[in-house]
Amino acid sequence: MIVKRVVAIIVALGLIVGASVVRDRLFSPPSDPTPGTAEGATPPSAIPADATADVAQLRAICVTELAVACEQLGFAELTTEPVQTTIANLAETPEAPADVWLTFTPWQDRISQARQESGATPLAFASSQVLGRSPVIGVFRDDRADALEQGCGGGITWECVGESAPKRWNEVGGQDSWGPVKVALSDPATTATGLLTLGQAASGFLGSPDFGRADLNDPGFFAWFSTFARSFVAPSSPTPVNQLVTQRAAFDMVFAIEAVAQPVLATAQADGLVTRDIGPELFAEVVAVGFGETGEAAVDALTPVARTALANAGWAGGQAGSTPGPSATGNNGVPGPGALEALRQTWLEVR
Amino acid sequence: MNWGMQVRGVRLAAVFVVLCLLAAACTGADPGFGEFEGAEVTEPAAGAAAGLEDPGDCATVDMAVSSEKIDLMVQLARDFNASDEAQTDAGCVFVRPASKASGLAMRLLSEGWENTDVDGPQPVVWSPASSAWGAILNQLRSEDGEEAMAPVSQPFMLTPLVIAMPEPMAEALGYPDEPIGWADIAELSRDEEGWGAFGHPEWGQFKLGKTNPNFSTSGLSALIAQTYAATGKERGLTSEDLARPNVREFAEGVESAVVHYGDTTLTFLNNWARGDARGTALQYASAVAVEEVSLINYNRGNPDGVLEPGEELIEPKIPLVAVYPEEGTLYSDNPYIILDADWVTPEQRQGAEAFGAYVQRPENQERVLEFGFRPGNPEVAIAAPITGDLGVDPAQPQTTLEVPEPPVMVEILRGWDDQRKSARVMLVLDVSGSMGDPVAGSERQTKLELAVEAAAGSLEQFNDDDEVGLRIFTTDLGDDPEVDFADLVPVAPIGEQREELKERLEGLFPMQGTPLYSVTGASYDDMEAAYDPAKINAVVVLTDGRNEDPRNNDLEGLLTTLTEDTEGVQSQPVRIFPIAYGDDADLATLRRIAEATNAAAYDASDPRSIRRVFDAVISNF
Repeated sequence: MIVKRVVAIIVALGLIVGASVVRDRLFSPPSDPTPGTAEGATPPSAIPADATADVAQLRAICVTELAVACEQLGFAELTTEPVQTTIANLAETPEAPADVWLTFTPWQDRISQARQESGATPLAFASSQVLGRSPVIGVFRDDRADALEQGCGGGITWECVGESAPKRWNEVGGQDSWGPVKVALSDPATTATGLLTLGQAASGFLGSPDFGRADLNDPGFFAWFSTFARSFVAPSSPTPVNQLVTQRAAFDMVFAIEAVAQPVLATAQADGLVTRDIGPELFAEVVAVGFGETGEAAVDALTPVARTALANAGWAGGQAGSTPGPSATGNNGVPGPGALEALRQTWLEVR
Repeated sequence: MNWGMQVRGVRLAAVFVVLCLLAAACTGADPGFGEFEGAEVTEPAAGAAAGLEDPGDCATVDMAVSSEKIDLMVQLARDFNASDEAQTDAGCVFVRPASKASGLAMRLLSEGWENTDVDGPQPVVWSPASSAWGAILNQLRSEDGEEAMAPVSQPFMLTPLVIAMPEPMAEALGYPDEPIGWADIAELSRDEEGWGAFGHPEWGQFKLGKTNPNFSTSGLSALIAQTYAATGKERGLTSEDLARPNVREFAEGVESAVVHYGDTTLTFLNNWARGDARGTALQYASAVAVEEVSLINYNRGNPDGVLEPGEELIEPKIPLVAVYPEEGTLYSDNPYIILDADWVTPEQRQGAEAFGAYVQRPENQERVLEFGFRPGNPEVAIAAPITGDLGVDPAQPQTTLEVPEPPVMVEILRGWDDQRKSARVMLVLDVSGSMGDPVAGSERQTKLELAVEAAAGSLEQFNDDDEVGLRIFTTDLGDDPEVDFADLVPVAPIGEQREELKERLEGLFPMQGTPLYSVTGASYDDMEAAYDPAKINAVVVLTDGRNEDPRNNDLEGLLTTLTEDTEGVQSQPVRIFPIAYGDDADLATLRRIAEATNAAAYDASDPRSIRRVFDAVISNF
């Protein structure tokens, strides 16, 4: 038993070292995050050797935000790309470009919709339960957060953020020398983080994540949304939290998935930044999608390994052997796939 | 799109272009690592490229990197190549950086980087000083119906654009207590009283240094920043903003104070350093838009950022201070771009990814900091040398501007051609006998033919209202033995005589010897006699050898005259930019001539590079 554990630890360390050089072209964070290296933190869990052997046979696509976790998994081939890139490929490809796709719900439900829209034949796939989850949060320059809380009447809401985005700070409770309010967002047209954040914002304004196209066309919503969309700042880095940390004056606030943001916020340059949960709660939930006839088997092989890797990377609810996480729908605050796509199209129209 | 040859509106104020063609065999010289043919002569440290010559059987990852970080990248590459990280499952990797100005690399990539003999190997990785260049490249390729080549990529080190000023001058404007910005620059540029309005008439007029935004990131960032300042915005710059009359007026005001442009800020910093040694730094320039890292290097006593073996660091007598413009500034974010190009193999891509991860490691980011850059990895805190005792402020900038959308940036660049200082140019060509020598590797073209081709091509860079003329010279040109030149086309608006200039150029043939010193001196005197303070006044000398005129062999006398006339509050500076054409050109002498007038010399030891070199020289105007 002891020998087996030692072997497993050695294999795990070898996987981590060997995977450290793989980076996504667009959205890799600048360095491996080191959750668990802070004093008193839980060290990473080891991944069982027999489980990794099956995963090592797989060709995988990982959504960009999961780059760190995916690098731990030792796939035979790994492509890391924005979620919309994968959807665009899956919409028309005659055969699946990989064995598995680690992504966020509800994008697995977009596959069938996208293929139907493009006139392609259905693609067989299987989907896992939620393997890990993390909320969308706001990261603020601390003085800006304090000012905005005052300016929003005691708590920051999405409605207030959207109304403040086109203004100058002296109009929303801040100092004149701060200039215009600068709200940054990952591109909702291409990234999961951007569109999930936009989904949270729309839910906040409309009062529910269960909205439809008609709600987005409502004059009141459209006026608020279009003003907000035209006022936000486009980050020049693929990792906006990184940019806020290293180029402090680039913007005043940015929205990100907590598990992706926290390692950056724990670094040496991150003084003076605070996080805020802006309701309603919205969780980015990770699911594995397996393609083709072997899809279900691939998902079964990947599930325990991915849970551990996600937990090691700071995602909650994914420890090996624990009760599976919440179901993919219902209590994560995420609008449905059709609503998200309608929101994405509205964004493209007004931008 | 022929981006390079369609850079319009290069307006040269009273420039004599003297093409002196001397007898010498010209051999093609391979570009070395660490510099490229046609660059301003800032030769890399002798040890910098050592260990990067032979990749053996490894997958070679060629990199095009902006010049200010070449030393750092060579060090990192050498260490990586010798490490276990260079051993991937696809085999070994050999990283080979080469210096390439950001704007030039962008143009070469937009054209497919076809001429590897002249421009060096096609890069796998491109690291310009700013990600804005990648966005511009993709925009230009999109306009040509091509796929994007530069994905959005992670910065690995940062440095903000600042306005560098000699400390006394900044203090005269209220530094450090009062904020200073582009509005102050614009106002100073138009003030006829100059520094006299601030109690310092001895400093003369306000003089600004800015690089050409088509070539240099500092120039591009400065242009974007001054445009934002004109609009009062910090984000969301639009085409409508650029069309506003006050924006154009603001820009023309700022540009009116420019002493010269150029393809690199190192020209200004080297000239400042030489002036500082002579006690004349305050007369050369009042402010120069540079990256923070360059200011740190200057104050450390290393103005060009390259430490030669045995070079001693001598701190300046008058340090520079960094003014972070009140209206906001931009970062040079030095992205690490693995190109989406058809020449990049999977093995090269894997190797490039490995090196990209290597440079992001905290221990290597500490080295980034040692070089004066701010780390791109947030795990490494900002520390020395980013400190006040070197004239910079780690808490700045307090305002960062949004990088404009690519179509807006392209429009800003095109608009600059109309806003920059205007030009008055005399093309002066030496038609000595040696110019009939053929150039190796050039399909039997002679040196004269190549030079004529380059000169004729450069005519497209002038706007119709620029004035351009043509003079030829050689010994024993006509009946009068004292006359060494003939004016074939008078200086007049080129719009009326572009074709005539081309025809006259194409009709030239080689004749006698070359009086380099007397022609240089006479051209300088003629330009000074017709000095126009509203324009950039300069001479460009292209020579493939050395002075051969026994009637005038007095180099020291020439240099003394040039130096004395260049300095002083009442001086009317005419800058001489020599080009060393071919292997036998007397580069050392040409450099001394350039330095005497606070200019720069250019290396065209491979005559096939003359077109690129000409572009770089013209970028000064």
